[in-house]
Formats: sequence, structure tokens, C-alpha cells
Amino acid sequence: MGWASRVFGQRTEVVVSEATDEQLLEMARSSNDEAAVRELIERYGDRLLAIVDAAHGDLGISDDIVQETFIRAIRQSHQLRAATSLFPWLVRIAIRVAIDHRRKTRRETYASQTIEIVAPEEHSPHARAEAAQDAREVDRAISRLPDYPRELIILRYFASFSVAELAGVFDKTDTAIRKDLQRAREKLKKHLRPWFEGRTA
Amino acid sequence: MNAKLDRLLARELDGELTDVERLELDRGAYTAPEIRRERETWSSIGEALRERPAPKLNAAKMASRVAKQLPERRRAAVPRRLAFAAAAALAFVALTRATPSPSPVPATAPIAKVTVDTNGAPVVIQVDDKSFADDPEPVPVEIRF
Repeated sequence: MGWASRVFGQRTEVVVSEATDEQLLEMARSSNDEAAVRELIERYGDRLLAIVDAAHGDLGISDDIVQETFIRAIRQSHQLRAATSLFPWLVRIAIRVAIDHRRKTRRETYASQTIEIVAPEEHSPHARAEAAQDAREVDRAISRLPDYPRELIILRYFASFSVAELAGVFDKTDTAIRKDLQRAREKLKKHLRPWFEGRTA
Repeated sequence: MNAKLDRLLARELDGELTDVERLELDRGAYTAPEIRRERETWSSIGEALRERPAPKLNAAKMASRVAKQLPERRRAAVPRRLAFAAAAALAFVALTRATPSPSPVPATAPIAKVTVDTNGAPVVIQVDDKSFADDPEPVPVEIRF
């Protein structure tokens, strides 16, 4: 990218594309470095958006949630502990932002300003249509779950978060997360009864 | 359902199955059709979830919007620092006034005028000095926000 900035008050020149996450956050926070903000969004924005969209099902709202997540993350970056990896921390913030958003707006629709949809291309049109149909059924079932089990299911089975990462995101113990996951699966099973009663080969 | 296989399946779904346990579950699922079906169904659900169309952000646009919103709090912080500096100056002036000087200023006239732009942020000015607090004569201080 070729951008360079000072970090940590030293005269160290850092190329944004080679900077660590912590350096980027510091550059964004201390000098409002747009290139650093962009690099952070390029590293984590799409993954974050996919999770938020899967959990909330409205791209316009998801776009707002992701944007607010980056703003809060940069402002609160001094709270990120060195041992914590950035992505689960961003997800944790996104979940809080989503909760605030739900309180404020109750599923109004927004026009997205920064999102385009990319359909998976590796399948034939017929297979793609079938896969899309399955995805819609699962989406519908997941959208009927309450917020917390829905977020657990999405993070575990869509974003492949481990139990330990989920415990970090929701500030719970591993044991509590395992129990909650079990309950969330039971709830989802009720909404996908035909899938469990023989639609598989 | 077999309790042990059930527990192994739950561990697999939690992403915590070891290689040895996986072999055990594979073997068990071979002879337990209900476990096999449940396992395949969860796998299909995972696949269906991953088949969702991938939304893609325009990173440049979002970065510009984020960068525009970032400085708002910092802008408020600068006048607050100025306000504290002004408060310190006021306290100094008030203390100087409290000590007798050869040519005293009339007690009713303000001795300092300080204008502080707080940008809407509340400013608390506290002068915590025993000799000043004990002064029986009130010292007029004019502060405009």
C-alpha cells in the first residue's frame, strides 16, 4: 500500500500493510490515520460483516454495526490486552453494538452504502440453486432463535469459533458455553425438524 | 441413543474431539444409524451456513467514514484540558488575592476574567486550599463559559 506512519510516539516509520494489528490500532487512534483504518477493515471487515449479517440478516444494519464496531475498537484499543487476538475481540464489540442497535431501532431497514454481495461461484447453476435453498431454510430457522443462541450458532458453525473463543466473546466459562451450545442446538433442531427426520441420505 | 456416542457427537459439534475420539465416533456411527443421521445433518447445516452469499465491504468507503467519526471525542478533550489550565490559573489568582498586598484591589471588583471554550463538556473547578478556604473575605471570581 505504500503508506507510512509514526507509531507509539517514536520516529519509527511503519508501512501499513506490514504493521501488526496493535500498531494499526494505535496509528488509527493516535493520529486518525485513514490508511491504517482501511488496512484494519481490509483485514477483518468482510469476515466480521459475514458474521454480523448471518446473525442479524439485514445487510444495511450489519454495515452500520461493522462501522460502529471499528470506531469503538479504535477508540477502546488501549483495552485490548496483548495476549488477545483482535478478531474475537472485534466480534465481542460487534455483539455489544448489535445489542445497542436492536434496542434503538427494532429492525428498521437501511440502505447499505458499502456492501456488495458475492455469490459462491464454484457450483453448477442447479447445485447453486439447491445450496441457496438449503441456506435459506437454515437462515430462516436460525432467525427464529433468540439473540444469544443465534449468535452462538453463527459463531460456532459459520465462523468456526472454538469454545474457548466463544467463552472470551461472551465472558463465560468454557463449561457454560458448552451447555449453552447444547441448548442452542436443541432449539435449532426443533426448527429444522425435517432435516433431522430423514432428509439426509 | 448411545450415551457415549451422544457425548462424542456433542464434543465433535463443540469442535473439541481428539483424533482417537473421532475414530471411536466413526466406528460407533457405522453401527448407530441415528447418530450417523444426526452427524450428517449437523454437517449439512454447517455447509448450508457456509453457502450464504458472501457480503463484501467497500473498505475505502468505510475507512473514510470511520476516520471522519473518530476525532469527535478528541476535539472535546482539548478544550477540557484548556479548561483545567484556566482553572489552575484562576486558583493561582485567587490565592494571590487572598494574601495582603501593599495596594489592595477593591473586594467587589473581579480580578480576572477567563473565557473557556468547553465545547459543551462540563468543567468542574475546585480550589482546595486551606488558607484560601479560611479567608473570611469572599474573593469575587468571574467565570464565563
